[in-house]
Amino acid sequence: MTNQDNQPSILTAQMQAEIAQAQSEDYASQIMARLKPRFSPRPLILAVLTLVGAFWTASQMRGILHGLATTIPTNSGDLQQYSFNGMTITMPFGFSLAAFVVMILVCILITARE
Amino acid sequence: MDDTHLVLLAQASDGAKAKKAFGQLVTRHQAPLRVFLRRYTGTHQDAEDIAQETFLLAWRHINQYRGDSLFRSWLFKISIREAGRKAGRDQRQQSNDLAHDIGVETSPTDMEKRLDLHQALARLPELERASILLCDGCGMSHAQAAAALETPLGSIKTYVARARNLLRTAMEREV
Repeated sequence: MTNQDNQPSILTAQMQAEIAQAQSEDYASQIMARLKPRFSPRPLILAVLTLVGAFWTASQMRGILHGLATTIPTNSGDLQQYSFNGMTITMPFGFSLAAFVVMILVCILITARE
Repeated sequence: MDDTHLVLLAQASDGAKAKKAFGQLVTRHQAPLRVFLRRYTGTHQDAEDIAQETFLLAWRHINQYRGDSLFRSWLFKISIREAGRKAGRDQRQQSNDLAHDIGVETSPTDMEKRLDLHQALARLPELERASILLCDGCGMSHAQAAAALETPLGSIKTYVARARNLLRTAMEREV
């Protein structure tokens, strides 16, 4: 080692000794105690957009289904009959409303996971 | 687990996991950062305040870290900016409480050397001081120091060489 490199090596040695000393201190717990929860607007924006999207999609679907349906009154309540390409599906009146609610719940779950 | 992986965990929205990962990053980098700041600012209290503020800022803005440089360089960059802000706010006070700063048991001769070096460092221009502390003190490469100081690589090499010369001259004068 040349004389020119001498001073940096003193600096290196001193600082490395100080770093080793500081490493043994439990500093992280002091910092961790001061950390505040981070506010991130992303999940909130995503939740609002998802809900609005879900409401819009579900209401569109409900409208389309109602447009296609024929309501058949019975003694035990109204039934709705849907016909697609010759296939007929009959279901209780509240089905599309239930589908609407289920879809919103699924969207809320997806948002909560995010 | 390397820094990149820990940063990714800390960036995730799960609070407990993110905090735990960040805690590991703090444990890993606190010592070089605090020692660097003690030497850079020259005062123990300022260094501790800035180090604390650096970690709190890093936690708050961890999502802004894109991995362009090492996490360590990013952390030091925050601390250097904070030190600059603090220096702007406060009247910089020169302190020679190095024995308190270092906290390592030393012989009287060692202590004299430390004080000489401390005073010689304090007389260096800011960029030269930061460059030599990062490269020679904390073991960073020139590229890592350049990222931390937001300075071109060529300039860092010049600052380190100039700082070594100035330090050597100052120390020889002390002897």
